Amino acid sequence: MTPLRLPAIRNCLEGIVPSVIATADAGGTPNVSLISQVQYVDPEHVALSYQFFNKTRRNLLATKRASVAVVDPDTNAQYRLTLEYLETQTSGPLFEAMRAKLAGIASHSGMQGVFRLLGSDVFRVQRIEPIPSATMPQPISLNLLSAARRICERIAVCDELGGLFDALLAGLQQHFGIEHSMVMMLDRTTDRLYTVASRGYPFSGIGSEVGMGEGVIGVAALQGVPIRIGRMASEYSYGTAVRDAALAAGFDWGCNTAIPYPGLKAPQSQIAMPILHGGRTMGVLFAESPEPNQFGYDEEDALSLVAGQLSVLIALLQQEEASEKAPPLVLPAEVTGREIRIRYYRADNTVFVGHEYLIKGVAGAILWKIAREHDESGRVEFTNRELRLDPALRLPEYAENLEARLVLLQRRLCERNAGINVEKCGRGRFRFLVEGRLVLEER
Amino acid sequence: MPRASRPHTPAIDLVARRAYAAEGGTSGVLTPELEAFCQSGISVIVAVCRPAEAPVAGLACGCVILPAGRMRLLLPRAGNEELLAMVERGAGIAVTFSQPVTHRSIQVKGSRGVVAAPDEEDRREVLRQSQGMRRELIEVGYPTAFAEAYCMIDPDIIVAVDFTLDAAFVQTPGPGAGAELKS
Repeated sequence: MTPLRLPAIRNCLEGIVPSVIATADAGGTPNVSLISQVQYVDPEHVALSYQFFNKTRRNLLATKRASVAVVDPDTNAQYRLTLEYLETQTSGPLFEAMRAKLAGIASHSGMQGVFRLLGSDVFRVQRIEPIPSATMPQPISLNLLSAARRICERIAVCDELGGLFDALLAGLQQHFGIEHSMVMMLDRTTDRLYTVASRGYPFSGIGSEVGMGEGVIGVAALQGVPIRIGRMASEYSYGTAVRDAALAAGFDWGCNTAIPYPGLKAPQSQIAMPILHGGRTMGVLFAESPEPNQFGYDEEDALSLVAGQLSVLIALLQQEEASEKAPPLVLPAEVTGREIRIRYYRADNTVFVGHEYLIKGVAGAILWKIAREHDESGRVEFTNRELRLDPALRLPEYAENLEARLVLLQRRLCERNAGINVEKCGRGRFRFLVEGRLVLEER
Repeated sequence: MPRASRPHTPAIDLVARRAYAAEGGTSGVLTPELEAFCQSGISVIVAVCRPAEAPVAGLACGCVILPAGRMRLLLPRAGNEELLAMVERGAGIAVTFSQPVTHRSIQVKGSRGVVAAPDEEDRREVLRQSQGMRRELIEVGYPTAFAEAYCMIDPDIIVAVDFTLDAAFVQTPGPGAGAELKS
């Protein structure tokens, strides 16, 4: 018989049923307690949450041995793990993933003030032994490998970024049954993430932002590691994170340039997958559900494959557009129709159309540049390349998310029904179309 | 770990233990109230260890208070063979009792353990206690099917471990957790 391996029993390590940890001091006196979190690290290692400097902790440091009994919350299958303590991590990806999960467990168990992660104790799993128990059949679940393959095939044929994001989120719904999801891209100039696509919400929230380290999405982006919570904890909720950050920075919460975040009001499960390129975060794929414990280790693995493919496609689409050149094309400018007033604030590149806030940051600066050129010369067609090279825009040298910013701008304009459209007209080229007469105002 | 619907604190047990002693209670490790708590149908988990050996964890299904400061722990033989063998070789024993609806927990430490055959009364008691645990799990939100499977006991495979109670510690999460319950 094949020996039991840790990946096969990961469902026991979700923190849904508490585990039992036995330790002993140097004299051999045993100690036993419940432990809220045993985290799967890799096929040979688990990590336990270090929350208190208690007898268990002292024993682990003294003798480095533990025996842990774990229970599958779906089947009641039980296993005993023989563990050897290796090290304690107090920061970094594993620590952050455990901290988020523990916050969810603490929130659910009414232990918010008591449970706090001090460290992730990493152990080598020396032995896994089944403990006979009355078991229930494994619930029938999705074939996640197949679902990941279907989405990867679907998005591989997309030839522009906006369509890629939409196909991805539609695929998550169709193949994973994920009803609420969004893609956020990272703006390195501000270290904030902005929503470029969403699905399953009453309003799109395109352009809404979250800071690095804020909430599940911000922590996943900062650490470059998937973060998921099975029982939502208030301290990881987006609303709390954003409100706290805004208040701490002295912002007036409720200011009219904040685009409302589209997320669920009362999510229970959330997962944020970093979209990594060359080891750096370029964005986050996020999904959530009003039901608890919807995203387990297997869902994380499957979505990780999807996020990997997504990252390659994003990089490829942006790379290809940069290599194409097109001459600036001047068409007769349309100067009839209604007046469209664009007000631009230099301080933070905020743009209002009429009296309504539209966008700020790099996307705001891009809009102002092309609106001005259009106004002055009647120019309609622009290239990504000239934006990238324009010193006035102060784009980062490698501006890897320029195309994503254009998607953001295009979608905001479309949603606000601003009378202005940005349309792609080939790789690396777009048209600026105005259904009226522009009036520009700079402050 | 599900939410405790009636949270407890370590201080409650520490104060109660001192009050019991001040009122002239017996000098045993457990007060009558703690003895009743341990037998009330809650979570029972166990560890055994011998010097220079690795500890072994186990899930038990109940206990019975014996005369002369001893406790009878009841647990399935299947899956606990190594644990029982270690008891027979003189292992130290630790048992933690936790009530899911309150998170109230105490740990007892013991020695001089022997493996014994349970009697009919023990079998009835283990069924009663496991039903109590089943109700607790449902109250804190576990699905009924899970609670029933988790608490399903075959009384015919139960074995007893009798041991002497040496000390008790409060283990309810919170300030004061880990303190010894003594007069």
